[in-house]
This record gives sequence, C-alpha cells and structure tokens, in this order.
Amino acid sequence: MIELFNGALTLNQRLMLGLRESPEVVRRGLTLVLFVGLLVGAVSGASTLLNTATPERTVATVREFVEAQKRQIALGPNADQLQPLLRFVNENEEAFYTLLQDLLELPTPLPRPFQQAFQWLATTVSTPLSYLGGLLLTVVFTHIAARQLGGQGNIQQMLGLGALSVAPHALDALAFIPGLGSILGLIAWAWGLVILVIATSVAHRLESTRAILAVLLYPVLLGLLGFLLFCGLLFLVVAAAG
Amino acid sequence: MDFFATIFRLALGGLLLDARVYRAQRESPTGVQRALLVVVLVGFLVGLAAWIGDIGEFLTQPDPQAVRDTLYTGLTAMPWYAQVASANPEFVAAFEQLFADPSTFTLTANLLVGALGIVLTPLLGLIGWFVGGSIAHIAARAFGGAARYPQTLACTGLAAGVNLLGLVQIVPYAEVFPGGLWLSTTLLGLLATYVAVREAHGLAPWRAFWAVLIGPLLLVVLLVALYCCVVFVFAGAVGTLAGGAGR
Repeated sequence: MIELFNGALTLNQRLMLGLRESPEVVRRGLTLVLFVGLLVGAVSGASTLLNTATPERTVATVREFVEAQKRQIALGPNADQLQPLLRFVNENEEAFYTLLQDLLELPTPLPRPFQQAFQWLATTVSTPLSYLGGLLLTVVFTHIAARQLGGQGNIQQMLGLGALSVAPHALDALAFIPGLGSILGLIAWAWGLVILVIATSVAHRLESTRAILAVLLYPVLLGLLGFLLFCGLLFLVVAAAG
Repeated sequence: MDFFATIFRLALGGLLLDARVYRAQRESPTGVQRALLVVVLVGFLVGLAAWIGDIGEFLTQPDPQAVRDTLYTGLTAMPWYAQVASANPEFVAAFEQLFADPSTFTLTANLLVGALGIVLTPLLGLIGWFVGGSIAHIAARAFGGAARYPQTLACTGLAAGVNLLGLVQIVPYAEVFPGGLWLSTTLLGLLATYVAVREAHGLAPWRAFWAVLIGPLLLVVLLVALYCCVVFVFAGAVGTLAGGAGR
C-alpha cells in the first residue's frame, strides 16, 4: 500500500506497468483512494471537532468568520454600497450568537460528545466517497476519450491506474492551516493531473501527447459548451432588458 | 456461514469489477439464484445500515418542539424583527403561521421511513435489476451479444455489489458531502453493468458501452418527454383558467 502510494507520488512508471498487468488492479487502486480519503477525512474531521468542541467554541468560530468577512467587505472596492449590509450585521449579530448558543445547548437524548464523535466519524468515512465520485467522473470521460484516440486499455486498468492520481490529495489533510491550505490544494490538484496523464498513457499504451489530449478533451469541451451557454443566456438577458 | 461468505465474495467481486468473477457467474448453473441473493442481501444490509444511522441521528438531535421555541424566541428578540414588523404588519402573521406549522421543524431522521427502507431497498434493487438487466439484454442482443437471458441476469445482478458502498450510512450524518455516495454508486454501478454485459455477451468494448448506456438514455428521454407533457398540460390549464377569469 505504502509502496503504491510512494510510487504514485514519484511517478514510478515501472510500478504502474506492474499494476496494469495485475488482476487486482481495481482493488489496489481503490484501496489507495480509501487510504488517502480516510487520512484526509480523519484530520479534517478532527480540525472541525476542535473548532466545535463546546457551544462557546462553535460560537467563537462563527464570530471569527463573520469578523473576517466584515473586514474583507470594509476593505473591498464596494465598501460604500455594502454599508447597509454591514449595519444590519452589526445590529443583529449579538442576538444571533445568543440564539446559536441556545440552539447548541438544547438537550439531546445522548450527550453532546456522542454527536461530535458521530460527526467526526462521518467526515472520516465520507471523504473517501467524495474522492471516489470525482475519480469515477474523471476516469469515465478520460477512458472514453482515450479509446477514441486509439487507446488499448480496459476500464479496470484505467480505474486502477487513475486512482493513483488521488495520492497527492493526501496534502488536503493540511487544508486546515490558514493561508497554506489553498496553495497545497492547488499543488495536489496539479500533481494529480500529471499522475493521471501518465496513468492514462500507461493504461492505454498511448504516447504522452495523446494521453494529455485524452485527459483534457472532455473537460475542455464541457468548459467551452458551458461558456457558450453562458454567453447565449447573457445575450438573451441583455436583449430582453433592452 | 460459507453461504454468506460466498455471497459476500460475489458482491465484492462485482464492486471491484473483477472480470473473473463475472465470467464465473456467466458459466454457473446457479448464477441467477446467486445474483438474486446478492441483490436482496446487499439491499437488506444497506437498508439496515441506513436505519441504524438514522437511530444514531435521532438520538443526538434535540426535540423539534424545543428547537421551534428557541428559534421563535431568538428571532423575535433580534432588532431586525421589530423593524420589519413595524414596517409590514402582514409579516408578523406570516411569521406566526410558519411557526405554527409543526412540519416546518421535523427531525431530519425519520425512524419509520428508515425502517421501511429495510424492506424497500432490496425490493427496489430487485425491480431495478430485472428492468435494467432486461433492457441491457435486449440491447446487447441487438448489438450482436451471444448470452442467454439468465446469463445476462446472473452477471448484471453482481453489479448490485456496488451498493455495498451504501453501508457507510451506518455512521450517523455520513452524507457530509451531499451527492458523494449517489455519484459513486451510480457511476460505479454503470461501470459494473458495462463489465457484466461485456463478459456475459463477449461483446467488443464500444458495443457493450452502447448496450449499457441505451437504457439510462431512454429513461432520460422518457423523463424529459414526461416533464414537457406535464408543463404543456399545466400551462394549458393555467391559460384556460386565466382566459375564463378574463371573460
């Protein structure tokens, strides 16, 4: 498992070739997704747990977030137009925090720690599923494009090898670090994209340029379609308003 | 015990798209019975897991009446409420009506619906298997497939193994990322059905792809057509009523 994880991160093509020929290719790939998902889910769940450990802590976290948003609005270019919004928030926020705390302090049949334990566990077990959903969507479109471009791999090989692209997302476990989280997320995404291109090339015995095309074809087409639809709608709205 | 271990191995093989398991299923004289057991047992386990998860949610949520009272007291104590109420007296009546309706504040976890799921999940799984398997068989035969109907059903039944992912619902609040489970089971289910049809009928990849996709595509077309009909009839009825009122 660790060998597969390291091999994916270091773009080890020999390991990918071995995985392609393995009859257990899907099991091994999905185990990696499960491993990364559980790791990220456990850490991000624990981070949420720390921020919501008591009703007071939850209110403090929400208060911190609201204050940050207010500062952002005050420093933004539309600060003057958004003054009524800021005034509304300032007038009502204390009463809102009291309401939030009252709601969080309502008694439940099982004590509050049970709910928090369940929510931590839920985040932990749900994260692999969110990675799996995204992976399947990517793999299906990449596989179709790769076959259209002359690829020879089957769906099991594509899924098993494509799963390696989830490995860099272990960095998402550090998403709770302010400022650093989004940069690490971007690095993980780009790293995963490179792994997906190499995985497609190995799974389908395609040269690199075709593998890149296979990975990008449908996302680019869908993006273009979305852009055209947006332009069309914008045109209709402008025409209707005019 | 061995029997359950065999069924579990089959379901896991279906989930992991193991072509060897699908091929063995095609050749098995008891393939359809085994597939039936996979569909029913996986459905039952998923329904049971979801119900246990619902119980966990129910036990960690406050009484809806207390939630309603706290919300009412808290909202009416806010400065905005007094401002809006003095500017618009109708708002108070609408606000009171909203809080008088008990259905507005029901718990998200309904234990009765969850218990029904234990029976309904395998039942819906069975219906989906028969309908989906039959459409896939007709399409696969049209594309040159060679399998008999029981062989198609034996293989497509294994695709229900994908629903094992739903066991995650045993953890209360497990749908942290809405749609994650649905997307995973739907896409993996389609892939599993594709492998099942390909292995059962010995079809080339593109033929198997279209044989599997034709059912969901027809369903989408049917739903869109139905939606258009409903909108058309509704618009017609509204137009007639408006015309009548105008006269």
